[in-house]
Amino acid sequence: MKIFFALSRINLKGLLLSSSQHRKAGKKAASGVGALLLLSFIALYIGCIYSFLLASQLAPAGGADLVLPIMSAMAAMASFIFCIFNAASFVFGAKDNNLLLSLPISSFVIVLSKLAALYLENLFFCFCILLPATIAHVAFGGSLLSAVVFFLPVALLLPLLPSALSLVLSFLVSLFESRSKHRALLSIVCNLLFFAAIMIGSLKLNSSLAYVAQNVEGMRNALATYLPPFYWVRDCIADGSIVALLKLAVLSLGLIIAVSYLFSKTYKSLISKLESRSARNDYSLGTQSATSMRKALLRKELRKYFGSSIYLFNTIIGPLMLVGGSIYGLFARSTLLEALGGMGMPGSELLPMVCAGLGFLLAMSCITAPSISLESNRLWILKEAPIAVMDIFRAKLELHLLIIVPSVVFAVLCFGFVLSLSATHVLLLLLLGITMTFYEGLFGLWANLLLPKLDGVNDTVIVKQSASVLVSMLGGLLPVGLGALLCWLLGRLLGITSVLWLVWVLLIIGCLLLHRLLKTRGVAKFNAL
Amino acid sequence: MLQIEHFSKIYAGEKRAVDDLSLTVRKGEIFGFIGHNGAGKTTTLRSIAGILDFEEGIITIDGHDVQKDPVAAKQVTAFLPDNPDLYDFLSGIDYLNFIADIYGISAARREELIRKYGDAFELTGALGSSIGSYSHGMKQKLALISALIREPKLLILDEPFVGLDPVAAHTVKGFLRELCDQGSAVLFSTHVLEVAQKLCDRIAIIKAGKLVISGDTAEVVGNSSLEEVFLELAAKESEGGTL
Repeated sequence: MKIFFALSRINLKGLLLSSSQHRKAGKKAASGVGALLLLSFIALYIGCIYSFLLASQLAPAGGADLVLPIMSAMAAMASFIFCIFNAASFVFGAKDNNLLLSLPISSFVIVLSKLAALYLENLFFCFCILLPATIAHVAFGGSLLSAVVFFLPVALLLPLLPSALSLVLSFLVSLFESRSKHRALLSIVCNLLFFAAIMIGSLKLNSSLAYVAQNVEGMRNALATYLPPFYWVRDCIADGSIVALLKLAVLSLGLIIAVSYLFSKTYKSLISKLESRSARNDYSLGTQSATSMRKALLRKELRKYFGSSIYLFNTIIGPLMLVGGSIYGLFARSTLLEALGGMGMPGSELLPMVCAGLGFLLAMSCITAPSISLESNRLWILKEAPIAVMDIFRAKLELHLLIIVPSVVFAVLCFGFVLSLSATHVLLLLLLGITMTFYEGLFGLWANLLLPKLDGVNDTVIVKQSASVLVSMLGGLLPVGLGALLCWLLGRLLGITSVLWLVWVLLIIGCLLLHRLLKTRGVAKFNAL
Repeated sequence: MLQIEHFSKIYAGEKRAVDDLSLTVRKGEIFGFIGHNGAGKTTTLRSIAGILDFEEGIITIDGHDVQKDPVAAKQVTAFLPDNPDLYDFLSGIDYLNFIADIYGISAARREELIRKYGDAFELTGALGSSIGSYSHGMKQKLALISALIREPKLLILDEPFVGLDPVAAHTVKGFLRELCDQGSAVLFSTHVLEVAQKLCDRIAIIKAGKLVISGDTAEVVGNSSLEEVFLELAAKESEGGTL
């Protein structure tokens, strides 16, 4: 047990904490903790909104208690999604696997300790969704006593299920990848398919809510029959059933132990398969071609981007949604215009909303934010090369622009056509979108220089848990918030179009300031890395 | 070729990793840098290569100050760390072309040099494979090739023989001598005292960040072996003796 707890502590630390060799030990940047807190806050927010909405719709039909199984299923699903990104690289692709396997520790304890760290991460998420669900249940007439007594044990048991299931899926993905020649491509395709399924599910959620409200008893039976663990959550918190709690405990703990035991049996062989790569020896040196230093740097950035599935997947969603939304808009133009006409709203009035949506998606797609951290132990190659630091920054920014700007231009032109915007408005949207992309790229670089994470155990940890990624997201939302505020304050006085031109000018000033900052303090910070 | 004057490196909140080091490495010579673990060898080499910032002193390579004119200094230098992490997402040939592009090496010249060094290290056949599939030794060889194709005026190597098989180590020694014969200089750190004694024209011994002795290998070693000299100096320093 001692070894298990020691390993779990180290694993959790590895998942959450980042440190920089240039910081004092007492000032370790807990970027992972920050990311987790933000996700927990989002979970709490979503939990509150959906719990009270659901409870208010179900209460008239006497089904307010169903908020518990539905939200606990949502919590488990959300945890599962959050965890799936980490599990494959953290359990099967971690850098410490060789070290751990060489120590006198059983594979079972190694797998169990890694699962324990994943569980603790999930705990935050489940807790933040289940808490508002329980409060909503009590607020709509549920028993306070059983809720108080049973909430904590249920909240502790619930995350065990998604932790174990995410390990199963990550195991299958790792196994599949280990037998495939095109691992990165396969991973990207799997991630995109998975994301598409989530998006379709989310879009159908609202219609599902209406269905649930109309069919309370049918839903109750369905939940009890097909998702019994989540119905046991309801039995515990709503009815105070100890039997249900025991059933939940036996299932969750049994599943986690069974999963750990089964996977520990094949752990070593899977790790061996994942690591066994052999170089071919049939290359014949032909004519080589030369290119400029700037092109070489950009080409290297592109190769890194398309060679890392997690880096690509984490930042390509925004541009893909822009392109996908635009194509959908083109096909559904007449329906959209009809709906807008019905609301008495010409397309031009949607301009601020289109800008906000564009800004939001761009803020979620900052390619530069982890780009310096991703150099990791290979930073010496750039630092010893005869390259000006600004040229390194430029290559990273160029990658960001190359990936994002085409999608922005495509989306703006499509929306201009769909909403019948004037040429001036299309131009304004184009300038805002492109300048925002510049701003986001520059801000991401600055954030990464301020909060580098050069010791991440793999790309997933750097991309998913870097403080710089989180900060650049918030920094990207800043102009969106500022634009909304200016529209609200000055919209009537100056007109929305004038305010948006003002926002564009402010964005340009922001870009110039960031460029100046990178050229001076940014270069110094890079040299100090 | 390399001039180090009163160089000191202080890590934040820590003692001086290197303290008032002065050294000269001349054209055409192989210079060995010897010391215990943590003596300050790697810190010095990384500072010369422009990877680490430093607070005190001046380092010039072929007349270029590494702090004031880093790009010009790096243009004539090649550095190889003790455990080179390379871009796993590139193939060997892509990596060599990347380095050649950065250093502005013409297509014809790079092809000639890649063939020469690739064949010598028996790596040409594997250059089409991803670096991620390379063994530690293959990565080390690739990093060495990437340093040699630059035809640097100053080649800095941190423990270059670690991880290399005996044949490759022998090949490296030959290329180092060839480079020096063409007027370049080589500075390398090592723990293998026999290699240093046989290969180096001059050596310097560093301990706890301070230079203990430097000079022609023959003068420093005298009639004993380098190992005996090193151990004797280490013992004297531990007793607080002065040299």
